[in-house]
Amino acid sequence: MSIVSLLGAIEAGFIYSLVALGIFLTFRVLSFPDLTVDGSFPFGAAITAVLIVKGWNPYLATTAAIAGGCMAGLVTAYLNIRLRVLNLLASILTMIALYSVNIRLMEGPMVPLLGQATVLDSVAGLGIPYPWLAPAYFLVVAAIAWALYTWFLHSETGLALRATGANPVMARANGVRTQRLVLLGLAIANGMTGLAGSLFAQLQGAADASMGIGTIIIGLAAVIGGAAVLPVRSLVGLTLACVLGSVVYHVIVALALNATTLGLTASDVNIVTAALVCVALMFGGRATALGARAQGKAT
Amino acid sequence: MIRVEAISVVFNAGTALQQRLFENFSLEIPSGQFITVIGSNGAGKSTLLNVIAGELPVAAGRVVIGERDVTALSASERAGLVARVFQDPRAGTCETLTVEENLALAAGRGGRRGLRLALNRERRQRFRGELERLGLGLENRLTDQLGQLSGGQRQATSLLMAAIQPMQILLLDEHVAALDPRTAAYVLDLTRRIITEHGLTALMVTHSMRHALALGERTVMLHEGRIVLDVTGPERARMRVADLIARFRAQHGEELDSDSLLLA
Repeated sequence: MSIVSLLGAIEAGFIYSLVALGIFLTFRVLSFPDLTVDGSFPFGAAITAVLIVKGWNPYLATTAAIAGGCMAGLVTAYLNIRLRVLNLLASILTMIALYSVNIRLMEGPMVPLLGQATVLDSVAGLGIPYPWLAPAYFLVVAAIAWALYTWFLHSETGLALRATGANPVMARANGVRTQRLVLLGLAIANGMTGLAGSLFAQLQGAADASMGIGTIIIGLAAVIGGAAVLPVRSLVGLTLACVLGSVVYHVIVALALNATTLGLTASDVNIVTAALVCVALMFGGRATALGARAQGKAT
Repeated sequence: MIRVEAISVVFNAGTALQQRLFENFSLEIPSGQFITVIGSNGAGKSTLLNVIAGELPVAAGRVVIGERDVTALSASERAGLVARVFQDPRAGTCETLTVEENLALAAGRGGRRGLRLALNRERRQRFRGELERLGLGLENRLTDQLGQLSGGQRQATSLLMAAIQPMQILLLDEHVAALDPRTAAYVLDLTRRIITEHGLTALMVTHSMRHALALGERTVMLHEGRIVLDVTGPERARMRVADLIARFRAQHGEELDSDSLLLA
């Protein structure tokens, strides 16, 4: 595998680490299986692409994508909390609806960004050689997001959010407004996913209505794989494992697709991912809380 | 003070399973009183507790805590007034959080939660001091996950969490039922200490007639959502478990389910 494709995998890994952190928040922290991300990822991409083409500053366009992702998360949480739609189903409804929204927004299945200004242009003048520029940039983005996210989980509000997912009755008895925290948690998770979609569109030079397919499983692969690669219990370690897991996942997939002996093509990514998640769940054992949780419920 | 005024509680309203438990039920607990509540399964003990805590809405009537009408407030909105210890040691604490995180969560009860770190040096020191007083060695286990503690240690932590913030009333929901007798005795003693120390208005639901008479200053027996016995003062001081059972039979003319009520 060439250094350029390795760097390409790493930069994608950093971008998707935002998705992984979001999924960690919904699936693991809140126990809310949220599939909205398959919609909020391309939603963020679509918002940014449309706004950049309209001449917006790329950073403003990216901020708008975060806001759009937050809105998507709020819709899912609202469906679940107020309208009492089952959490999984609520997220699928939002995800499906967003597919249509994205095509309306882009007035078609895709919006190319070639030749347009992106957030990467803001660092082009720093003198970092081309293949290293994007990985370095997204490393910084992922590091900042991880730091803020981890701080948040250790804050008073973050603690209340963790209690909401782990024991809602106890959380309420301690004055936690659990419904608000579910709203907040889903907004944050999908805001991060919207940001990831926005950055990914700017990196690959287009927003595409189908680019969200499998976002959830890629994120889960990162969360589960990360926990298997870095078996730690502390919260700092667990969130770091999400970022690491995302990078490791993308490198493994790139290796698999590049290995000519395997004869895999880009469309085989999904089955490779599914296999990776299964393997991680099988061998992660107790180290992966998703597996452990499933075992706990069975007994 | 707790005042429950003419409440009615309906389960599964509007469905075939609709069921009424309380109807025009009233109970007043003066400030600083420690009351114990007994009754067989389905008598409404836990329902009463849930109504006061705000986990269950009432179909009619009012709930007043202190001088405040809290009928329309949710459980989390009442948390500044009410502290609660649950029957299941797992219910009152968060097993995936650490000991200090559980205490920090309780310390935020009734206040606004912001983006400040939930734990800092000052808070840790305070928690260590509080835990030391339990005499269980938990002050050295601040960063252990709460799930690693024994049932008794968890209930003791639960009590500490309940008492860590000022409150109007303390609700104890059969909080020693899941413990072995020695640990139960320890937790009950701790309960008494905390209630006396803070001069709390407290309501303890129990299955044990012995505990019901040994603790607190007033005992209420519930049956099918009604108060069938309400004793206090000298009358209560003279009462033995056998008297309680006799009173119960006199009320209902039915055989008592002997196991838990008698033996506990």
